[in-house]
Amino acid sequence: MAVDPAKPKRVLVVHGVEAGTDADLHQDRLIDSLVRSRLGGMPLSFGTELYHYENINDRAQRRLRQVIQLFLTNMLARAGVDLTLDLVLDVLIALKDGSTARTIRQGLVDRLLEIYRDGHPCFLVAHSLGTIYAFDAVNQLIGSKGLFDRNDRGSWPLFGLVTLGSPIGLRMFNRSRVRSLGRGDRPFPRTFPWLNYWDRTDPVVSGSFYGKPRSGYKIVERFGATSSGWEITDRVIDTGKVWLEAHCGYWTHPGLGDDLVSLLA
Amino acid sequence: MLCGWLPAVLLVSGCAHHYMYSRTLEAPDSLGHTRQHLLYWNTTVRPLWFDSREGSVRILEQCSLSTIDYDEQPAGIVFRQRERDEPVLEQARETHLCGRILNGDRIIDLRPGLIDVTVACRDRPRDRFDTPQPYLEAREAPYQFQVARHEVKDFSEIPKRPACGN
Repeated sequence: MAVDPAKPKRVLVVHGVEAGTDADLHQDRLIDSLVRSRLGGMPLSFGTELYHYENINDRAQRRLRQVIQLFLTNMLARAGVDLTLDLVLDVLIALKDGSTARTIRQGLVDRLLEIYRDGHPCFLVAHSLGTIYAFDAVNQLIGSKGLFDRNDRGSWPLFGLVTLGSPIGLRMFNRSRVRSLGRGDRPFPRTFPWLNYWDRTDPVVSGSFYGKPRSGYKIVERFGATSSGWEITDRVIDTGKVWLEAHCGYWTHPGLGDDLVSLLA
Repeated sequence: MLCGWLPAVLLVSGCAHHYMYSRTLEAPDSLGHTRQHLLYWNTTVRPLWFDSREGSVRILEQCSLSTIDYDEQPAGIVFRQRERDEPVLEQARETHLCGRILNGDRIIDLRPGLIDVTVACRDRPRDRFDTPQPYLEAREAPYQFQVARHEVKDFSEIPKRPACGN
């Protein structure tokens, strides 16, 4: 079992906090068209797919949402409260890190391993809350026996992590370290790239409800020393939008597309 | 509460001006081929909200899928050495910086006109998974891009990688 460089690259996209159901989500198509629009006619063989977990969240929330609906008679209020609960409970599930979060994370790990068994070089692109699951999944895989040999990328189920609008720098998520890949025993052991994109006014990144810009340059670069085997890069991006619009504006930014092209090539 | 905020946010966002700065330069790449190299960055100016500036100046290559990012950092606007960038010039070996924008330390300082860009490394594929991604040839003297500014409706108008074969 090894990754085959001749096989098309696969980009697995992980969504963030979402309303609705799995059927409503198509962020993989956004990444696909963004990358294709930035190739300048150069060939690049790749495909995208979305890792869905909104239905898992919805199943876990169903009973509580049904009980709260019993107390509301106004149709509009019911819809508004249900939407708010849908979003807020997604975050609480990730924060609590209980059985639902474990199911979501394991599902992601399993899908990455399936792609690995098929031999495709794979890249993970995650947005918002999905970056927490993606980060944990990558670190879980790095701890697995037989994977991520630094001397041979054929043993890597994942070739890079890209996070967009991630709240991972906020204290409440309690993440601050990557799992080391070890040292490798050849002159140039490979490093695992992690690119973290953030817009300064994105409230999910800054934690500021009012969209006050986050200053500075580093969020996740401090998560790993050079010896960890990770190549971690924080990159500020101006989506041209503000506040929650900025949080949803990464998917179409040409600068991100250009960087993805280079990463996949 | 969110609904109360939304009209104000939309109003302020609507006042934003988006600018795109770009220029293409013909020069040799690290394999010795003469190619087009497109440099660009973008900014947003908002009279009633916080201004924001793209955190990177990018160079896209013709006939290569390479993207070089000159990221705004405390040390200036710099091209940070990546795993597959091999230092060619001495200063890159010491600093782990493969290049720099010489006209300012922040994107906000950059103006239309001549932009001086240095390149001190070359692409070096490391294993069978890496395909060659040549970029501007390393040299002591800076490259000069005569950059023009355009106001754009949104950033989808940012120019694309120069097509191969032109």
